[in-house]
Amino acid sequence: MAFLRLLRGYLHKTGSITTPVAWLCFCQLAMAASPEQIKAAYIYNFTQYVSWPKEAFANATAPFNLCIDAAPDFIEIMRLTVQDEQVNHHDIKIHKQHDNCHLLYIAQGSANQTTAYYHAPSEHTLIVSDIPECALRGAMIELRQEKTRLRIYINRKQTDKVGLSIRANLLSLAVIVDNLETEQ
Amino acid sequence: MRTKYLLHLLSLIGINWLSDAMATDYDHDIYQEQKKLIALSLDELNAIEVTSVSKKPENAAHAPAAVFVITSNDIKRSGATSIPEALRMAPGIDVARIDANKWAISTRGFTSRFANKLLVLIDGRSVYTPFFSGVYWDVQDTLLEDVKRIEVIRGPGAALWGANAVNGVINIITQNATDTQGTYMSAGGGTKERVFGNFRHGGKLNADTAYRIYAKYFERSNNHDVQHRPVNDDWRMGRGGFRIDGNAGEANQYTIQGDLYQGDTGGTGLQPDFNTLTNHRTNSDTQLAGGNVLMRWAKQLNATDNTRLQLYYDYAERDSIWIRHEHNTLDLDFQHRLNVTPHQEILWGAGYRFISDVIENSPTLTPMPNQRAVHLFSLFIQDDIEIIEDTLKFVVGSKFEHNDFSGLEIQPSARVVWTPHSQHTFWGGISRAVRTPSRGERGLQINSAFTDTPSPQINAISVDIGRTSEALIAYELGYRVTPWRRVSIDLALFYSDYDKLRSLQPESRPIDSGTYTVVPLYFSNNMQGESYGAELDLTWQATDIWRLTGNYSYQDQQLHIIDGSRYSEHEEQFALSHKFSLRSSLDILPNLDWDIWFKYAWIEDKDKLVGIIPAAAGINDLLTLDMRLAWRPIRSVELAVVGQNLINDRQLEYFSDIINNASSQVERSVYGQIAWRF
Repeated sequence: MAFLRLLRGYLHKTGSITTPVAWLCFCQLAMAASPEQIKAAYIYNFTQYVSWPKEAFANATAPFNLCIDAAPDFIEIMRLTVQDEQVNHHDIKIHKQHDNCHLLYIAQGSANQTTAYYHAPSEHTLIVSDIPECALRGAMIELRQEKTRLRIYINRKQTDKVGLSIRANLLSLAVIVDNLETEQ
Repeated sequence: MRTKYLLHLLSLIGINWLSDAMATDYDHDIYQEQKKLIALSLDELNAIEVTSVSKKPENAAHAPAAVFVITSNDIKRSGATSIPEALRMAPGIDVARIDANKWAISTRGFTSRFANKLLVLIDGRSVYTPFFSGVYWDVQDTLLEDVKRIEVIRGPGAALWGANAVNGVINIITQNATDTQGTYMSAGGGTKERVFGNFRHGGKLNADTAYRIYAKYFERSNNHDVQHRPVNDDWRMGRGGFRIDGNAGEANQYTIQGDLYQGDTGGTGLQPDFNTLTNHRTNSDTQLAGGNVLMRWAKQLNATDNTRLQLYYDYAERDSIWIRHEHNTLDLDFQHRLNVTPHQEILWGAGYRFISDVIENSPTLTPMPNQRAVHLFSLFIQDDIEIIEDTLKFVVGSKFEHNDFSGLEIQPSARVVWTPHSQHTFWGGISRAVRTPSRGERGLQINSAFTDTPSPQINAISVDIGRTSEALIAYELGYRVTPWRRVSIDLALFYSDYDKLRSLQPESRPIDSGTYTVVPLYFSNNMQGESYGAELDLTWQATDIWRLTGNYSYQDQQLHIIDGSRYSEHEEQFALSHKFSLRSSLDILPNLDWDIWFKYAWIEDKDKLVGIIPAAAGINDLLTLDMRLAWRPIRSVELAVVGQNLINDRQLEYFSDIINNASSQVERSVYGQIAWRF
């Protein structure tokens, strides 16, 4: 019952009322940023709040492979976001490929979007995308812009399949979508 | 790699001009913006609004005012069970707990139960009572779990908010119904929080409409006074409400919400007996009830312009031996935001408010007249002008109000924001604000019997048909800096020049009525003064799991009476001079939270204050420690234990003010809570 409610909510648009008075406050209190900046910040947060098993890294100094399949502007924002950051003492490296990734982000509009994650995901790869409803079709975390907010949809069955565990504070913020395999 | 490391090192120690030379301006600004974004907590990141406007986004760091936001997570982690207690987290806000059910809250001086220089709004509905233009905090409540944030703005917000926002604005905003889906239940109890229960259920009416309904109930125990006698200040309150948020097409959004409450609070006060000329210490309960309904419609006209229309009705009644009072408020408000050029945005609005109230006579209170209706018209306009893109902005505006008492009031404001570098923001402003005479100051007689005077005397504080508002001109300066990633510092300085402050004057001749003398006094506006101070707050995300927030405020106040006023309403002078607060928020484990909150506040020149009001001797320096430990054994269940005021066994935060109310000591307490979210 609860699952159906979630699914219904997930597939339909949700309304969101602009905050009552704050956005009209002359002090412009609602912090705002462009969608790309917020997505980049979330992707960074995913690297921090998801746990990869030890086997995911060749050794203690192996880099964390952050693969971004998106427009050059976004890759630049991502690069600046993770500059000098680490995941558990692993330096973060940005790549454009799809292989050997710890986190793979596929942007809407990328050439590979239709085939990207329908094949069996490789071990330990967290697949993130902003393609609508990708979390129902094999992706693990979906970033979805709804009116003026960016929402996170997480498919835990998929993350479990590849041995990744998600921290509670990230889970509590997201809409959890249990897997619904669709025919392709 | 070397260059990058050097750049990072330089920016760490704040030398950004050098690193600028080594990277493009655009890259550097995005770098700074992104570092700020990833320094936010997940909750804060989740609350950020997405702008589709192509210019660089605004954020709270660029606000030309002293702003502090208490987030939903702050409220939860602090263990606060009421809005007044949550407000203690903000710098520059004075919260004094008078007894178990009464608080005195203000900012930048002038703290008193009837503090009337602070505008408080809940979801756009003003919650001050027209009786004394202040807030009855015992009935301002909502389900704290569903509070999205509390914006605390120190300084006059008059240009936008209107009269009575003299020293600041507190804006309590609840979550949109779409963000409170599912069920939440919690219950608990403890030594002072005798028992409480909360419930909320949120769902969808259809694809475009979400709703929630909530109910809560609590009982809180009584405290003890300085002589360790129990005070009759226990209270209980039941409350429920609903909210519906929906949209009609892409561009229209609406909200309908309402609440109902009923409860009773105990009080101990002095009842004058004019036969024996003594004041009897009397316990009496106040029955409280009320409700409100609010509707709001927002329309997006195009990418940058929008309008909003709001209508609300509010009813409240209080019934005790000291006062029997009910009031109705009807408020209609319209606002329009339009971008006249890409660099200039105009915000204007108009409003009408109708307030009618009935106050019955009691032995201590005789309102004149018993029934009154007032009409308030207002108009405001504000212009945001970007002089240099993303660097220099002026905000000028004014509010124009017409009320039945003081006529037309004009409250202009001018502010400037300068962002020479993405890490540094300077702002300044000059504003004028007024506090219009309240109902109680225009037609009221308060009787109290005093026996500490040479001959038996009754001081009858009666009416001046005072049509004058208190006025303020405020000068403010502020500076915000994020010197290192994960650290942000916010400093605000203020100097306020007050004129026509409420004072109490004697009539020229006391009236001899035989056995006792009646000394008639009246409210007038013969006091002036200055208040000035500084507020500093610092946030440090020390590690991914540990966050520290600290703030310090200082304020001083000089008040002078212009001509022979016998009492200068001393509680107006009672303001905590120094306040310090430090909060540590640690996620020991992903499912175990540990929060510690330490506060210290002290008054300088306390001896001077005690010389005027002996009762003030009982006030201790405020030294408190609160602690909260919360555990989530499974995702949907949370168990929490909260200890409050752990350092001192008990302490007095306030003393009686003009309406003969005994205060009690705030005591050490602990409570436990279980919450279930699914």
